[in-house]
Amino acid sequence: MQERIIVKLRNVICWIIAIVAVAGCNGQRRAAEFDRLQKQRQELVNRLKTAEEEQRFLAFIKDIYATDKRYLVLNTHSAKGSLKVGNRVLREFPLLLDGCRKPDIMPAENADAYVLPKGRIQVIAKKENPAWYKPDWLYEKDMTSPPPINSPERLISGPMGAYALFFGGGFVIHGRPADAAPPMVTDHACIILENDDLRAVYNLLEAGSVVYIR
Amino acid sequence: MRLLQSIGIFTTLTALLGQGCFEDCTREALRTEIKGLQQSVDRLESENRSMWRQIQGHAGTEPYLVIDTDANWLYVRRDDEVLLKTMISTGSGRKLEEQGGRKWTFTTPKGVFTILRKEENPVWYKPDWAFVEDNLPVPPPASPKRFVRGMLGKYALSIGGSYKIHGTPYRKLLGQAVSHGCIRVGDEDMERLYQLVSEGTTVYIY
Repeated sequence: MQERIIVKLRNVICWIIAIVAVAGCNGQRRAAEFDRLQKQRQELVNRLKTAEEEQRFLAFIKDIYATDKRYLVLNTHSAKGSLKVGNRVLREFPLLLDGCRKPDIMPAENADAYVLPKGRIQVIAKKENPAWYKPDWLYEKDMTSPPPINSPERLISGPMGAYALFFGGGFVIHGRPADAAPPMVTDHACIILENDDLRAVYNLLEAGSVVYIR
Repeated sequence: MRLLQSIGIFTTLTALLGQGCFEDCTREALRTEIKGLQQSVDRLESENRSMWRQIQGHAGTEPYLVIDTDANWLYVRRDDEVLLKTMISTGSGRKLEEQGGRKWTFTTPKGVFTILRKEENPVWYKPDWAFVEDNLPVPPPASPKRFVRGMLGKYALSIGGSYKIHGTPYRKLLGQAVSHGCIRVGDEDMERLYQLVSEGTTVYIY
């Protein structure tokens, strides 16, 4: 009788050990899979965050490169300019308004060219390393005979800085003279920008871009 | 005896199955979540790819800097590739008012800038607000009290208007908007950043 109980007991213990072993194995396998899923989830969460951050940047960049939405506002009263996309200000900068000095001797018919335009104007052309075309009356002032109209002698590089934006009607937005010379005697009305501001404006505006002057 | 044995086996099995079900349920929930996440990621990433295609050619082939002032991240990118990503501190937006006078708001300017100058061992020229903030008398512009070494780390990049991207001794604050408008970068990453960019590199801040 006692022997039979011992055998039974041994059987029961064997069963329990077997079940626990199987369960343990199973548990380990489950735990490993659980870990794997957790990791996969974390990885996706990180990728989502990166993608969201990238999208914010791309939206900003897209705005900037949407040419039709970029424009310049020049306030001649406060001598400040701003480069904008929609309502967003990309850059604010000072304007140098007295950079282009009106010469003492100035033919009356050219005097209009010194008046800054007001309101909405559009960029007609932009130019890197612009050359300045020396007009007849400046040669006459120096008592020299002007070279032919299309002579390359008339083109002088340097006084308009590294970039220029042309609007027609004599008005030009350009930079400082390369050698930081005193204000030049010119034949046009201009607004001068510091070199790094000018570079930003030049890079972002195209022919056709709108400029508001007030 | 047999009964006892049966009960034992039954309880063990039930316990195991019960546990199994509980785990199955959480795993099932995880799988569903992963599926949803995967869909969002795929959608966003494909949107981004098409946006990259639209702006292609504008970015050029030179590295450029991107500063996200919302999340306080700085990236050096070349086209759509990320060369460096690091946590920074940008302007806090805090206001300071001098008694009976000037006002300052400490924000990082947003827009398109260029790196104008690269500096090694930069010296911080302490502006007026730094004295006002500490309730100290403002010294004359050329006073030696104005020139402080070590506050800007080993390298600095000027982007104009006295704003700089520089190293910092306040490393624990990286990731938070706590600066006076400058962009603070951890010293090791600042060194790499300094090597990656050159004068004329474009900086996008948004």
